[in-house]
Amino acid sequence: MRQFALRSTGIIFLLILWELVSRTNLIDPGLFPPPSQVISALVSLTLSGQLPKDVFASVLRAVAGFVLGSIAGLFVGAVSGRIRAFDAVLTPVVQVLRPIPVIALVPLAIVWFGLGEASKIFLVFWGVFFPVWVSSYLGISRVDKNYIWAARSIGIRREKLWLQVIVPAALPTIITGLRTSISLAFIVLVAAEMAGSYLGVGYRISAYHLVFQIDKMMGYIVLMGALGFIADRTFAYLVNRALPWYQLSVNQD
Amino acid sequence: MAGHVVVKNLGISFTGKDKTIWAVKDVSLEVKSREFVSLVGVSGCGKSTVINSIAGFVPPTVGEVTVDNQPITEPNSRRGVVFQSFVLFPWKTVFENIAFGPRSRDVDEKAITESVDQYLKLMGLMKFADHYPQQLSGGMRQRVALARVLINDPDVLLMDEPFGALDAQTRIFMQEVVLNLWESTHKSVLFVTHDIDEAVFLSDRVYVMTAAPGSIKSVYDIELERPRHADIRLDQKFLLYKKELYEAIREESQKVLGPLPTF
Repeated sequence: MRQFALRSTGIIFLLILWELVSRTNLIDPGLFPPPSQVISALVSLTLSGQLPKDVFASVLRAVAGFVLGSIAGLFVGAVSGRIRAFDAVLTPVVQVLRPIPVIALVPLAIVWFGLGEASKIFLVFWGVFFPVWVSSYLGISRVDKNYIWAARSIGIRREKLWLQVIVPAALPTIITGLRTSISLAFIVLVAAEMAGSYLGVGYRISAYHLVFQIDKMMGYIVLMGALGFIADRTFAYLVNRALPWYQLSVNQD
Repeated sequence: MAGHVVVKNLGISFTGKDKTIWAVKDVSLEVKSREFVSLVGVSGCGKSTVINSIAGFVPPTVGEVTVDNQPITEPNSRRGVVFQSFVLFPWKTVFENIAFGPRSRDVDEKAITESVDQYLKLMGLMKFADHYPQQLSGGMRQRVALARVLINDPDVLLMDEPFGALDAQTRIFMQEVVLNLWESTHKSVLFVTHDIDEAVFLSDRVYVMTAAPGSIKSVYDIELERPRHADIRLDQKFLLYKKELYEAIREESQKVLGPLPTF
């Protein structure tokens, strides 16, 4: 509780400072509306039903792209990390595509998939795939051989090695990659929605910019930050629930 | 009687960038059924390579390794391995680590619980069944590793500097744990160490290896009474064995480390 109070102090101080700076007209309040005004904008947008729809649309795109991109990244990373032939064929392909910044693909995705859901999901998929591939590839290919030796000399059969030893040993690396990808998914999503859309948090940021409603725009920016924060915390919570050993392994050794 | 290990003219080489490096050259040794044999040598002499070869992790380049007249082709739970770095699975609890072997063989779960409990009790780890290895001390981790291997009832126990990562007091405690276990189960043990005192205290026979590429330099039969207790270390005979081994090892370590620097 004390910890919580201490942690909140900085944030409260920042809000008060922000409120004061824009109230005293030090900066044009039209450009820099105070937090009270941003919050009331958020409240009325929520009551009108527009904001929940935007959040729903954005979260759905982010989750769909993230899940698909992670599955693909994990799978390709795992087979190329462990099986020589796949490594030889797939890894160069991935390495050629990886340096392309995903934002550069936004116009192409719109040309290919239009302004609807498909282009957003594709872009998030693309953005998530590479970091997950890297972590899965490295995690799986660098499993300590002692784990495999130990398991084999205790009598595990070859076909059980994957699930019982290789995957869990690679998990800490993979989890790091997944967590990085969550914030990346939101960055890509905002860029994709800004470039062309009819709905979504990123779309509103760009739309209110065009009509110069800065308080609503800032409201959506804050909202984006909140979504990212919640996604990250949810992921951390789920990992700790599902893998109680994970926290212990990260803190020690 | 099972667990008779024979290593004959074993040589193992690894291919580096542009040359072949011999880790061990011409190693011959024997562990008879129910014997406790140690292999000592300076670090880097290839002791671990010999163990890895008997375990089935590394195939011989030349020579042969057999257990009960069968050449070794792959790892098998008949030959349990205890590593210096424990190599417990951090994603499994103490209980699950020990149960790993029988579960791999699809033993009935009720029988597994009974036998894991028995080993937890034997190792004094009852309270820690649901802990993860990361939560245990080094000595406890190595007891879990021992239990994980012993539950498979192997014929041969291969121990690769098992106490190298432990502090001096824990080390002495663990030596007695192993000795008691061995005296009640009588498995064949090959024990790799660079600690002369440990080798003499535990073994029926000690092989000394030369510096890299390792081969067998000399062999000592340790004719001390069993069961042995900690105070045997002050026995005149014990000290004589230690002296002989010490001199043999010192010759080899000087080859590696060079002469003492003069100030």
